[in-house]
Amino acid sequence: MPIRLEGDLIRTAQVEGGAALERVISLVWPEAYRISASILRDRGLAEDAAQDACVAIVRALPASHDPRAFYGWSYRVIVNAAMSVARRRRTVEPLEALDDRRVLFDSDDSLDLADALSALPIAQRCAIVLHYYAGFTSREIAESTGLPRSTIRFHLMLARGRLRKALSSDRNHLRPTQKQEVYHDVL
Amino acid sequence: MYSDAQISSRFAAMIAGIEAPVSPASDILLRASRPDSRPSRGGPPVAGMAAVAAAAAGIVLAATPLVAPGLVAPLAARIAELMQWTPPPSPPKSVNAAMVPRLVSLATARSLVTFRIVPPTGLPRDVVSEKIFATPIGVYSKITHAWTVGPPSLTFSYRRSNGREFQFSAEKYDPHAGAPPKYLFDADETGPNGLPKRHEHFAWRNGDQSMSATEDDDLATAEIEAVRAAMHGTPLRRATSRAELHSGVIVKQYRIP
Repeated sequence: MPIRLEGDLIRTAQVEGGAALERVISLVWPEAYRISASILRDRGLAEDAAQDACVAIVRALPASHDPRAFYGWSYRVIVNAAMSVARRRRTVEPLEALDDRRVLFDSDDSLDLADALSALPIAQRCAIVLHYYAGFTSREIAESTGLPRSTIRFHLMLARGRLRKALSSDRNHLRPTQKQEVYHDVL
Repeated sequence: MYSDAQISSRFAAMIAGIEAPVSPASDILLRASRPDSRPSRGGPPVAGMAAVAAAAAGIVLAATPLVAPGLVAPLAARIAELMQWTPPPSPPKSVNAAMVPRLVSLATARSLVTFRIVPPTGLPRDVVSEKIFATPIGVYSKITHAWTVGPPSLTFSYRRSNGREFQFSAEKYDPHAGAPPKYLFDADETGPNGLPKRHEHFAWRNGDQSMSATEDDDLATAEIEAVRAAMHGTPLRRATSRAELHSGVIVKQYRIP
């Protein structure tokens, strides 16, 4: 469920803080966690990224002049936080994380998509999530990530092709086995 | 061939299906109020660490004899205040006096504890020596509001070829102690804001043994994970909410050799 903030909540949070700020966090947190988990595929890292994103949002909120821009801005913050966590902790996916996939993803369809997504480099994952989930254009993704628009378009083209191929092929086409170590490339 | 709309729809379903944990709103507000709150991945030598499980607020209070209690107490109190947690009273002298680390052999350690010891395996290759310490634990009951001397915990202390040291702690698994914290706060290393830095904490079970380790400059997260995997330990689920952290009916105080 994309982030939806009621009425003047942003303005109230900016002026009064307190309970309104906590309300903003309570609405942003689940989305920040879900998006981070879909990109990072690790519950601990997803919590770290979601918390980093919420901290950044709380800190920058008072300076935000246009509450209408909150939606797009918050997604940029969330995805950038996930990328930062991935860069800070470039690791081999622990084997138990493969067992944890069932905890994160509630259906085979979701698991297939998650496996296809995890086969992509982090930057492509972020671009794909921003494009297909948050509805960002390549220009908006370029502004969010600081990468050239041509690079984003290239990422999207590659990622789109890989996703379609993966989703159209056998269910287990890209699913890692227990014996594999899955390396996540960071751009 | 999937259309863009179909892929979008599947993304929406996948992300909506992920269950998010409870929002740590107070932790977020606390971090947002501090100048630099990025989780610290560095730290001092373990021997100098006074680890205060502030996020755990009530699960673990750890202090080393290398650090004057007077230094640890104000930090612990400040963290407790920030975490809206009321710490237990200080243990009496008799309990403090009993918490003396004793260098033991593995055979002696086995005779001192009531759980089956599974020593760490899969250690980093540059380990050059190992020592085992047995140290009684101070235990505070939230029910009787009294301190007692508990059974010893074991500390497996290792020295690397570069002289640095790291430790793994083992004790009898105790379901009454509550879920272990995700972070320990290092009272020896404070940031510019005066607050202790935090380090990720890991805990796992082998039978009735609970083992834990904390990442820092001397022991990387990947090395802890390698040991846990080599031991075939079952990770203990770490607390994700303050209520969970406070759920234990006892508070333990450790002295790290």
